[in-house]
Amino acid sequence: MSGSAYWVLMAKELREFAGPFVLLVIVNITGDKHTFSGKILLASLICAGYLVLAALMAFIDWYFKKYYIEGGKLVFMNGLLNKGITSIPLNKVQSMRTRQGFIYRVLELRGVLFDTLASKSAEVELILDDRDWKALMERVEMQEEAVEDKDSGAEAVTDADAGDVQGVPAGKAVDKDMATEGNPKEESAAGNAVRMGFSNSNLIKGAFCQNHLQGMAVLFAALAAVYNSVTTVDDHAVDHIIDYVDTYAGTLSLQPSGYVVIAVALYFFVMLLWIGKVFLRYANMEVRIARGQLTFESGLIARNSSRFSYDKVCTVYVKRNFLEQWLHGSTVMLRQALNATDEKKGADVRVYGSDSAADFLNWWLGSGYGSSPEVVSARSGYGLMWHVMRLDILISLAAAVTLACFGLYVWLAVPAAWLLISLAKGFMAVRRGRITLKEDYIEIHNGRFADIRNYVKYSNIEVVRLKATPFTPYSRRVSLTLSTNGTSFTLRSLQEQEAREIYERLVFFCK
Amino acid sequence: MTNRQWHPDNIDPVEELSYTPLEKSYLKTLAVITALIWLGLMLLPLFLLLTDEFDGRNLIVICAEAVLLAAGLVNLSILPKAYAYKGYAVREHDITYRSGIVFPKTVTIPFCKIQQVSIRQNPVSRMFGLYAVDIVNGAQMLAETVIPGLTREKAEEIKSLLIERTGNETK
Repeated sequence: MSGSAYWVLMAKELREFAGPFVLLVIVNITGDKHTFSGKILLASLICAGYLVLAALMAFIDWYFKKYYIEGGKLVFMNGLLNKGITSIPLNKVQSMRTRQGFIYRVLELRGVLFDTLASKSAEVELILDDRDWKALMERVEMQEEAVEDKDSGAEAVTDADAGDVQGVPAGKAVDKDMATEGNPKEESAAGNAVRMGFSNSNLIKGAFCQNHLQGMAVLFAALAAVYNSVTTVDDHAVDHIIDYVDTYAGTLSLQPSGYVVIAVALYFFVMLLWIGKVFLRYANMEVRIARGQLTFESGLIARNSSRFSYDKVCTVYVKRNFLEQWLHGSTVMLRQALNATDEKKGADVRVYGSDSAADFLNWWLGSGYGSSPEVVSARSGYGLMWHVMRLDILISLAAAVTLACFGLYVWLAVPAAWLLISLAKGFMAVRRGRITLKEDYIEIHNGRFADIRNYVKYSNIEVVRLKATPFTPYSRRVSLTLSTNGTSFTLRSLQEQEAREIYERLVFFCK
Repeated sequence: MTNRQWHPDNIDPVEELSYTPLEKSYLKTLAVITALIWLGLMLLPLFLLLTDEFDGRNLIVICAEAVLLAAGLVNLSILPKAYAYKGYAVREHDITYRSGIVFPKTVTIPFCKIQQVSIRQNPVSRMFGLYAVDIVNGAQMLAETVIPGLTREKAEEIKSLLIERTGNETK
């Protein structure tokens, strides 16, 4: 690794030892054991020790971290006392990700990570400069070409499909205006590679269209952090605040219109937090498709990328809620095997706002996917409605009983409204719940208020299960579960005969 | 694109397969495991006797024990039916296992999707000389299917068959 990589490792070590360092400083400078100048001296010594330790650890990490590619394998060596050699066959790499945090970008470096399906293997990160990164990519691409040449006979049909997909956008480059109307901007690069750019305005539009409760989760996380810091400062701080509010409650009390204003302000604040979070992660998004490989790159400050082959995707998820339908957008997610993704940061490829589902489906399923004839389909019955509503019914009942016990009869409207919303949710779930087996792929419709379509290839099905209930002898309805290596779907309340036919077909065609 | 022809007449549907039953001694294994679980649950209310005495303590303990005993007996009484439903069937390209009495389930795993096959025993099944075949696939859900209640020979036979067929099937 280049010399600049040392500074990234140094920053990582500083971050790793920051907690014990701060604790050590606080423990030593509080109390009356030392004079003021003694405390300064002690803090300086601890600082020096902290810096030396971080520098030493970073040096060991940097000096003993080596990698090379040999015989189609990436060999990675690290450690001084606990020396480890990791060997990853390049054809077993599920996806290759890069991360470029702020320090990486200043030093013009990128962290490269390799995901395999081995769930227990440690994450291997190489910190490379541009020259090394290009050299690594060349070797990886050479390896892929060698594998493709080897399997060319077996994969002739697939290659033809992929060629079509890449050829269509390359030949019909979409002009820039399209990008502003909800579609991604596509450009044909060298050869048959396709580059899709997604405008940031579409991203904001897409973030705005998401379930706004997600924003609430961000707000609660922020409030939890504030609460945590307040309680850390002083155990009695919260008591002081509560006492203060209690004392001045009379002067602080607001008119009903005031509460509405606060609620609206809170809502906009939450939306801002949520959109900010999405914008930081997905701004300046770019997708490149070349030779069956998809590279996804995004991020405003820290740039992250993920590169994987189209056969590593197990499900394409397309969501359109009523806002997205109105604004001609969608949320597209390319889902990979769970143990192959960066679960900490949720590295499933997500595209918000742009109406790009057809582009990804063309790439993944083949350009003729839309004309694939329907073979058989089954719809969910009203058993699904009960399943969707069961928890809401229990909550509403419990709330209603509690309110009635306390004589708050007017407030019974709240659980009643909740139940009505739940009823609408259940009804919509029944309306949407459907599985359709096409000749070349499976389409699973689910979702409640949003229209969600999941596209799965037959070859991705790993296991299928049929489950009856005690009501099956009377209703002739069963549940069908199908699982891929990254997603699973349970379709409830399907007609038994249709479900059995689909079950047999799935088991037959998944080979 | 693929365009394989579907011949429903040439396929034995899963519902019409004749399932191989598990060993008879597996019923005893199930009975012992069920009895142990309910006995364990019946121990819990007895901890109330260690607390300070309060009104109706003994009555609560007796009632709880009676309810648990009744539930345990009901569970034991339906075991023969649950045992009779359990079974496995092997077709040309997949293996199917069915189980469950309240919620009957049928799981089919194509041979080409099997990642790992192993044989295992627990202390109770060891008492009756029984083994279980553990079939692991790469699915996110239902990644593990266990066929219990097999003799060593039968378990080894299934394991060898699965490994052989898995090797033969092209993914």
